[in-house]
Amino acid sequence: MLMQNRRMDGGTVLLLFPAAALIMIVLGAIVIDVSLSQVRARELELAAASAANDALGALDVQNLRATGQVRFDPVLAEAIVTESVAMGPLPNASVRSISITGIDGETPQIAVTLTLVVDLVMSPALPGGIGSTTITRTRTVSILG
Amino acid sequence: MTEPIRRASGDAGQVGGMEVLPFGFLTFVAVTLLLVNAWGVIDAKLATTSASREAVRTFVEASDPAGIAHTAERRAIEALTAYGYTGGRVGIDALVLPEGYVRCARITLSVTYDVPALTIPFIGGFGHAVTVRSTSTELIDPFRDGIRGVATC
Repeated sequence: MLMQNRRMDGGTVLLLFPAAALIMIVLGAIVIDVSLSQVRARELELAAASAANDALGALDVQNLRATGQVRFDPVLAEAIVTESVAMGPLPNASVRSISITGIDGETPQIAVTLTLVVDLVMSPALPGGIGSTTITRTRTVSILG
Repeated sequence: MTEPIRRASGDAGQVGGMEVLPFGFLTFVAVTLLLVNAWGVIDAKLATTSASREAVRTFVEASDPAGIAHTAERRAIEALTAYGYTGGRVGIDALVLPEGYVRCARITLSVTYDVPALTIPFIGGFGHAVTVRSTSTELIDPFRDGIRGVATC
């Protein structure tokens, strides 16, 4: 009985090997593309954080010292953020929004939202794979005290 | 009735398909190396991104501007070391401040790492496949103390 089963399994490895290799290639492709997206997302997040920090330069210090009120120059903030993104790690990223909140009473905050289209490496080679993905990240800085 | 079993149990005809095995093995090794190299680039990118970010943050928030360029570079190397990247493959662009260390001056720093073409565990890397570069930029804090002059962002 045992001998008969062994004879029926003959050549199975030859079929398992290409199947295993194919599975490994597909899984490897997924790992590489997901990792690439994560790397870009992390860079985008850091770029947004740097841009938000830089945008604090748009704070009207003279007005703050004279009246104690927090006021931002939105045009200057946009110019600073645009420059920061252009000189940063992802110059292809686009500035989706710069919002200044909490001027009246609450803690003043500047939120910078950036968007990036990431071209994938392995996925386009697979049947039905997507060529790119879009990432959006927002970072906020607060003015304390 | 037993004729097919007798035919499959012999070695006859084996050479007819034997050349596929080394070809499949070579394909397997090549694809594995490709995936390992791609992962090496991604891992190096994570490390250089952190390193450049740490260096720039150190620079813009430094309490003592004297010798801060050296301190920032050291921070970058420390960050890379924490990721396991050391040795002569690391490069850090020299920090240049045309306006001097003043408020709102923009600092841009790039960290590079030469990813080896072949990495063997416990032995190290050989060759040079790709140079990974990460750049960070930030303004020197306009509202910090310790610097003369007013913020002119």
